[in-house]
Amino acid sequence: MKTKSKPASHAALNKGVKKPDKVRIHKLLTGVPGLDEILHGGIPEFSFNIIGGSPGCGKTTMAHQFAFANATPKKPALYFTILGEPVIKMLRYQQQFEFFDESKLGKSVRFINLSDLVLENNLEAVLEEIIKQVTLANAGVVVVDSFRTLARKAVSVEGELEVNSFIHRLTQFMTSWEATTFLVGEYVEEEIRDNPLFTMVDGIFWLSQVTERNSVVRKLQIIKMRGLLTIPGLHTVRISDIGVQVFSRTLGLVGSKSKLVRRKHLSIGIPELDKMLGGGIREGDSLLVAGPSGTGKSALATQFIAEGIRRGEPGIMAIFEERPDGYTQRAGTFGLKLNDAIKKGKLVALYLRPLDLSVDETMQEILDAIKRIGAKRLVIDSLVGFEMALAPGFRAEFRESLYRMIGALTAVGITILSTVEVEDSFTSLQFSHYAISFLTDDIIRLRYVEIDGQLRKVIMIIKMRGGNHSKDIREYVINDKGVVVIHPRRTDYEKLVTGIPNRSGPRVAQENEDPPEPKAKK
Amino acid sequence: MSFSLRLMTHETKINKSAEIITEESFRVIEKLQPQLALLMGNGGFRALLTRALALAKADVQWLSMVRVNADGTLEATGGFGTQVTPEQLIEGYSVLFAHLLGLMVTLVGEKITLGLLREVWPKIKINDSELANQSAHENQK
Repeated sequence: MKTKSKPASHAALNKGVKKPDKVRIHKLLTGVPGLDEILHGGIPEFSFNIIGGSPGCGKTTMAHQFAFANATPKKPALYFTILGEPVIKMLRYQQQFEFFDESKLGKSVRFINLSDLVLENNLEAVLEEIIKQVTLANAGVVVVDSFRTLARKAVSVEGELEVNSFIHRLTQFMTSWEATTFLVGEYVEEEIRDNPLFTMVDGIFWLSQVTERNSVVRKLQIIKMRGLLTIPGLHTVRISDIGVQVFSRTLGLVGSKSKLVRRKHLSIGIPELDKMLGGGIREGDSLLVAGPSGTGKSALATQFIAEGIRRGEPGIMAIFEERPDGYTQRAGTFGLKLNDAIKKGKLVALYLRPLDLSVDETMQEILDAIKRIGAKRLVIDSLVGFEMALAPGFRAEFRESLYRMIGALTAVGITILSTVEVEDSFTSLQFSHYAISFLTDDIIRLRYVEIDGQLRKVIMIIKMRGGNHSKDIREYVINDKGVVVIHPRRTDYEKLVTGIPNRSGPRVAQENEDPPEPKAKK
Repeated sequence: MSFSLRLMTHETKINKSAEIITEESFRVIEKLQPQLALLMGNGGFRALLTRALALAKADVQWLSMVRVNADGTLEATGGFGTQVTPEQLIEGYSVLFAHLLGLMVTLVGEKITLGLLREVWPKIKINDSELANQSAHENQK
């Protein structure tokens, strides 16, 4: 006898019933250094993309990088050329790049010239030929370069509707064929709004270049990428031996989590200064040392790095104004053997002075070095030199990029000491010309003062975020130990910060009036 | 023996009439045409062959009777008669072929040129140095 089963509850019905999975969009590595990071892992498989921009931005090179990175003999890349750069020239120039693997030509990467077909036939024939070749080769990656030439010719002969229909059918076929497609074309920005092609494609890689004074600045923007969150904004592009390289404007530091549970105080290597800082600079702080030329900013920075190495904390010195040799030599006069640390991989001295760098590239070099040796301390000497080393077009972005880098690095516990040269004014106390003090947690100011007919040097802690610090103005010298803070605070002068203090107390008897600062030993 | 001459000898046989040798020699060069036209279009292939012929004419006088057609094929204008022996024909065409390869090496490099040749003649052994020597030889000319 059949028994009537109890009606199952809604929850019970749902229990054990597997919810259908969402479609998984696999990502292909782009082969363009830095770009995968901007795309959060790579380009969506089977997407239909456009690489657009003005001439000389690296569109064709980028397309080659995509092709070479993903082509295999089973799923080759087909590179269709249309009335643009002749393939023979393309091959001639592209093989100069490191990514160009000649052994892939023919089997994995195939070039097909459609120029004759385009000239002699209509769009239908072109589409048929593309479909034929893609089917025959079982292509996984397809590039059409230059698509704009094809579209322009077709619009003039067959009309806009026919072109749109062609693009629609091409998109449909490529996606159904499971091919990832790139259309390359020289477009101007205004076309993005009016040209229906830009609506149809899944992804738009927009390359641009701006000439400013003697420098050329190239940028990439991912204007659109269906199914994927990308890092927004303009990213710096460099074309070098390795091809197109992109520097993410977030420098790969998005989502960096703070590793610091308890922040300890790090010694700067100058005991009296450590005391003034309440035990040293706090781990993960950004410290700015500001002062005029000759006040010992670099010496102080060297001592900070050397002390870190002595305590097992690897360091990076990003030097912009002086050659590393000079730096290590001077450190030697203070008894600091930086060369040994460099040889042991505990210290990297980056000399960055090419005058044509983007701020993001420079920072990438610093970040790479930090990762390489697991650095805990970083010196940037100096911010003025850093800015000067940049191409003029990048200088406007200097503070913004610096802000991003300092913020991200300090968040993961790297302690940064930056120097900045300021002119001593005898009416005010400047920290820098660049209004960059907002970047820093702590500020140390060095300055010259006239005391008893001598030009001496004083040090003061201006700011220490979240920490108590000495308010004393202390005199210091640079001797064979480096920067050495001498004397307790002076109470016999007032207006020391102006550089021209007034004696307010009795003159302290002095045995002789020799300068208190013997020159550091050579 | 240079690579081009080796290939030409492989594809043609001397014991034939001048017309047949010419036809077969043309075929050697024309065998490359689809491969190169795929890369550079028919126009590109024609341009390359025209240049190779111009260079070869300086070495082989009777090649002035050969021209490149609009479709990229070669054509001998008028008969060679008894002025050109079968050996000279094969040698002359091999010089033309060598110049074509030399141009390819100059423009896209040895590796890519070798790759193309191996696709067209997969059964013929071509070593890297052979093509390099050939190219150097042509450049000296």
